Amino acid sequence: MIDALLSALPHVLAPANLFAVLLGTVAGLLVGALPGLTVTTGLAVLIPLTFGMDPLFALGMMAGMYNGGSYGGAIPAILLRVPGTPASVATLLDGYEMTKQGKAAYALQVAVVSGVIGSALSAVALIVFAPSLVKVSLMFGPAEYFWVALLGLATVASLLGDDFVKGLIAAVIGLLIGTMGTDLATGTERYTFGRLEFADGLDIVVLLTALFAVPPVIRMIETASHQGMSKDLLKLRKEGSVLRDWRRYLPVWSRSSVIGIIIGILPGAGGSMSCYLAYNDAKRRSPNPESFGKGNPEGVAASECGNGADNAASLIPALSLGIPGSGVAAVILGGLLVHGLRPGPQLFSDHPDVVYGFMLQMLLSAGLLMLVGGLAATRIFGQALRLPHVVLAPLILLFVAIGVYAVNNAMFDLYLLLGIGVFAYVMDQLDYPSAPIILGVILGPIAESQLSLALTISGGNPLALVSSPMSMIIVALTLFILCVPLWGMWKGRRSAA
Amino acid sequence: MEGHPLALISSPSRRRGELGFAAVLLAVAGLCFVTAGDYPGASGTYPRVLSVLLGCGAIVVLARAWRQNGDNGRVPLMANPGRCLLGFAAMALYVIGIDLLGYILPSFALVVLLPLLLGYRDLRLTVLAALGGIGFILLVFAVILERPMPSDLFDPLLEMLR
Repeated sequence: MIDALLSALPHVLAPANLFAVLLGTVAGLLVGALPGLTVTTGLAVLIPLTFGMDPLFALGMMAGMYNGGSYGGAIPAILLRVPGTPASVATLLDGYEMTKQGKAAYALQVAVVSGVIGSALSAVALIVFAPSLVKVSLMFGPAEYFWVALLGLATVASLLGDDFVKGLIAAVIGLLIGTMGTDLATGTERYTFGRLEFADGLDIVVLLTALFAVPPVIRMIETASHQGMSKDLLKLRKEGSVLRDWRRYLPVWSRSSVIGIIIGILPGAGGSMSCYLAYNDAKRRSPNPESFGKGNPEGVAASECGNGADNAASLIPALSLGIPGSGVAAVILGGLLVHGLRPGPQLFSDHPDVVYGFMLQMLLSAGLLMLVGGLAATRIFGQALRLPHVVLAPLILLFVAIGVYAVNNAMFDLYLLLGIGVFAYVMDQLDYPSAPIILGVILGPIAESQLSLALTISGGNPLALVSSPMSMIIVALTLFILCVPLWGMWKGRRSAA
Repeated sequence: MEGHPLALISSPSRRRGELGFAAVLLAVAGLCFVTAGDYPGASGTYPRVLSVLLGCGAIVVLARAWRQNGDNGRVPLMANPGRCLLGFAAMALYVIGIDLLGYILPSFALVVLLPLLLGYRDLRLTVLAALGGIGFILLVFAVILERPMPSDLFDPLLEMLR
């Protein structure tokens, strides 16, 4: 492996390939930061353009876009409460609160450094552990995936907010929305109301934008402030350097990276789940869990680190077995095939320069993210907040409208945005949390389909769900996550009594 | 802004908001439960269980809001309902405008007129922000990424840009 890495290094460091990684990172930041455009969309646009190019040049752009886009979503989430990607919802919970407290620059700094650390460690894991970690992911069947989805849903306990009943209602609304569309197990169309637009369910981008972007825009209009954010508040080093506070963040970075890498390796589980799990873990272990959701930078660090750590790790089963760990990894697989590179063990033996070069490019793009994301993109996007709120509000609507339209090129989605936006505003005014809705929409269908598959395979025997040691471990983890807040509440009441 | 006509619209109380929204959730839960009755087997059972959970949650919120008395119940739901209505009306007109005229003209009108209606008089900044925002969006979405835009009065111009 060392020989292959050393042999690939000169190719990766060739000026043209370095430029490709830089270009991809910038494009990824842009794509991630614009609501409605996802990394998957960016890659889907990019791949046909790379046809006929040198494989390492093309893969360099893809690596840059993956890591850049993953962080890019955090920028509007922190500054405007508009999640650029589904994975940036957990970042928004504390990031936007920090912006409201005048700590936008510091929140962005925490996000970029944490994202870089997660992405870099994930790339190292991809290089070092790829062959051996593949064996672990092979131990996962439908029953294990069902429990992984439930494990993700259990983290909802940390996102419920102050009112348990309202949090639970929000989670159930998400699960119900997740049932919309064609049930893959039976082919039954559920809650489509005869509309073709709902055949694949409610589009997550439309839902995300309506839930998280519309309420703050309406609130800006309600306040009608003629002032923007002061220039001083956007000075990146005003609140100090995150790297100087490394001791504070080190435990969060270490645990979130491990969580992100493990989730990334599991096919189908990656993306948003890793940032929620990392966020939940950080909150659970914090001596001040009540400060999460109120502007705690460790919340931003955990979410972004978990999100970044998921990236390269999701390529471990993709490159070795041809099983993508996430939607983005699936598109990258398509990109490999476009260049005549068939994923699997043979890829490592037939094209070591390309495959190890690509892994090094993932590491390189993580480093470039610090430079491009921290120094350039963050400063440029931060300036948006200096506009008076009465001007910023309609400007956000411009981006939201085109972003939502661009997903399916359908006016229907814009009318849907309007309808859900009214609903979301009322929910927000009445203190119903929005994050559990998203978690329910993402994980509900995974849990339902994997449960159905596991029961079909076992002939309807429910004991099959807990028949493997791996299932038992995940069940224990789920129970642990669910019981810790209850234990905390019980302890709190006892000490109060 | 106090003398502005928008400031004269009064907000419903938070308690009424809680009651109304919980009643809507209860109705949605009922509708989902009844609709799921038509789905076969597990396809129907799962959403029915979720509907029951949603209904139970809504009843708890209803009961809590019903019992709520004193000053807490009289807290207004919205800080400024007039401007809130203006915001949603602007959004609705904007979406209808995109449907009828395309993206560019309604976007320009929204960024220039909404601040004006909210009492902001610096037209130079709003026009610059509108042109800058629309220009950036067209550059990224229409020119670089070649994403389809809503059919627009300025389609010939967009074709030239591409």
